[in-house]
Amino acid sequence: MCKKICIIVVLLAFIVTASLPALAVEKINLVLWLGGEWEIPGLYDWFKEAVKIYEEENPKVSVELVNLSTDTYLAQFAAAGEARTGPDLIFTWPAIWCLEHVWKDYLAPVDEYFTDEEKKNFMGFDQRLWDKKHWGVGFYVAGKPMMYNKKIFKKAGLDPEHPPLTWAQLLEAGEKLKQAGYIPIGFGASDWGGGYLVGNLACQTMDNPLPMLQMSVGDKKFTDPEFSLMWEKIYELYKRGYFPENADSLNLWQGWEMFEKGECGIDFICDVQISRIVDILGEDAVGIAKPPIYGQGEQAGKYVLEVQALSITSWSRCKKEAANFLRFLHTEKMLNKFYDGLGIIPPDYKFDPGRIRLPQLKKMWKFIQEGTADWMENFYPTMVDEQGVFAGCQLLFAGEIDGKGVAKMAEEIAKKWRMMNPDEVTKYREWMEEFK
Amino acid sequence: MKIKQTTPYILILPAYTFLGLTFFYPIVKLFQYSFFKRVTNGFVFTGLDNLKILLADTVFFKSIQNNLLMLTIVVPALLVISIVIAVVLYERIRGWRIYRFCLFMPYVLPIPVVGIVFIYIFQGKGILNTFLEQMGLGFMALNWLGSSKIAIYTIMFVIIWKEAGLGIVIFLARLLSLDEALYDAAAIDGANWFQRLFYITIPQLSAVIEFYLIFAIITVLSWVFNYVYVMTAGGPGNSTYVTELYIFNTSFRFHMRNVASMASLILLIVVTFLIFVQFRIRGGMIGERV
Repeated sequence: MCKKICIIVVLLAFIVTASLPALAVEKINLVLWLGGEWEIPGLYDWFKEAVKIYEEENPKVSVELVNLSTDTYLAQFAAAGEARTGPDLIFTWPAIWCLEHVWKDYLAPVDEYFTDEEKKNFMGFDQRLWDKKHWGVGFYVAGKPMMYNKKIFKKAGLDPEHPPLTWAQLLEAGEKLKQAGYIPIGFGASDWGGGYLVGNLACQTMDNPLPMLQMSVGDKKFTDPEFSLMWEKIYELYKRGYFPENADSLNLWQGWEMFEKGECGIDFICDVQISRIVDILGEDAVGIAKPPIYGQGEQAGKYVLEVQALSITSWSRCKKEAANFLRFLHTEKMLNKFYDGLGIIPPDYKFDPGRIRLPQLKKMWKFIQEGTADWMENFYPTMVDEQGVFAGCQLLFAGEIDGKGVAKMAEEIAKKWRMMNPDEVTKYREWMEEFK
Repeated sequence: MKIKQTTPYILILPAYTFLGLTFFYPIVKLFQYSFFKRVTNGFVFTGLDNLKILLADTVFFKSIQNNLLMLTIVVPALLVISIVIAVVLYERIRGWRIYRFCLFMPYVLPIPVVGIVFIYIFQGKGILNTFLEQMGLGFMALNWLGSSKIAIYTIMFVIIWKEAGLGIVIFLARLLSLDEALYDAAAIDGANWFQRLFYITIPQLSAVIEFYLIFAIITVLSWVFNYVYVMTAGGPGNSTYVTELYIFNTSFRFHMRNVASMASLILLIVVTFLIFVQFRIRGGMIGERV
């Protein structure tokens, strides 16, 4: 009898201890692959603080942050996608950079996790629209102003409060800056400067991204004036000597550094750099404006805006929790902390513009309210971008080809891409329907 | 106790399993992705479609051309420079140990560090061109990394600068182990420096030369990716594209894994062929010596 009781007690003890882990509260572990540190120094540290706050408010959730580098981001994303393991949330650039992954079933739509009211406030939400669904939620704004140095403008005899708004005015300003001994426009072409120029300026001949998609699938050509005109304008600036002599051996960041060092009068720099550059040059030295107008499209004269996002991966087992974290980033408290901590406007219309202190950022907010244009580099294949646009821009700045030559290179690579990728051409045609 | 026949095989099984997973399995998958395409329910045979795509791609041809150019310029340059400098150091000139140390230093530096430093050196208004202009040699200040005609040669220079150190040390080590009596006998017979070099030194180095040749070929075919990726990323104007970069970009940036796999397969076949030829020649030379 005693023996039987002992056996029963041991069995019960075994059952209870074996089921203890199941009874214990399961902690959800979210893995977030974060990008953006390359253009916003301090972003990763800010997120570490944000995660601490989130974990305190949500004790059942822990968030693991992984900082991505721009060099390895695409390869890491592709590897994770093929293995269908890794992050629950991942950084995505807009349009093609996101949709490439959607088409490979790496990402999950986010619409079901947010109310219409919430979605209405997400800035740039449609930049990841496909199949009537949205595939990411923005977490920082990356607009593309023309920055100009007011002090240099004054020294060159230009009105610092009236930057060039048209192409003719830009040519005139460039000449005066050159005569005053300054490099008119800072720029570096050795890496992806070509794509940056397209993003800043190509929208001006278009009403929406549809023509870029049409060029990609072959319904239009990259050699058509809608694309080639921009490169002819760039070539005109190059021939006039408005860019640095050694622009072909500088990378884009080095081109931006010229503005910080006061070596050039004008530069096209991402607005996430505004606060940092104002700290360096002084509030009264930095002016921002929309790029000078050369085109006749509806998007000419509008502020080019990208919103970088975090997307939920299709293999994530905690999509709802991932969406909750995104919701948390869009609470008023965190939007304010984002601006206060990094000096960058968060991508939410709920954000109180009254908090903006810098006049440059106030102007930027005003530009956004007036209507924005698309970053056209996001609407054609990455192969055309790298082997056509980047490569062509490098040769233009090496003096080996002209503006039409760049457009021709893009068209040749587009033809090759269509031959190599018939499946993706089909996807592009479906994508075109979003803009018709 | 008699050891069972199967015991050795069991003992080496873990190592072979590891080798199989890390070497043979990827090669099997490489063949699969080269000739098959993944669809929703499995794989579809695509035949030689991926090969046809590659053969129509001018950037791929440029990549192959650059790899061959590197094999024909960098490998012989590494060999000749390493031997010549090793022979000079072998003369035990004053401070030869310090020179040996300085010449080997570049080899231990990480390639990305070397690449970034040389980017600054070779920029249009970088250290080199500024120096040349100040010395009145402005006509020699070229567009080292910005010109599509010159950039590939600039990269080759950097590769040779960095990699030669190992060859120098290897050849010097062999030379230091040679029997001095050979040189004494040659001197007595009236051989001059060049005759000693061609009739004694180089034949004595033949085994090391064979080894270093394979090593240099592998370096050029595998490590070249690092140099190009850091210094030019294939630019300007796709002029410095190499096959390894082509495979990387095609797979990870352009999401065309099947085409990239076919390119990898071609590279594997070429490298295997080169090593096979190498061993055949080496085998013939050993036969002759015997």
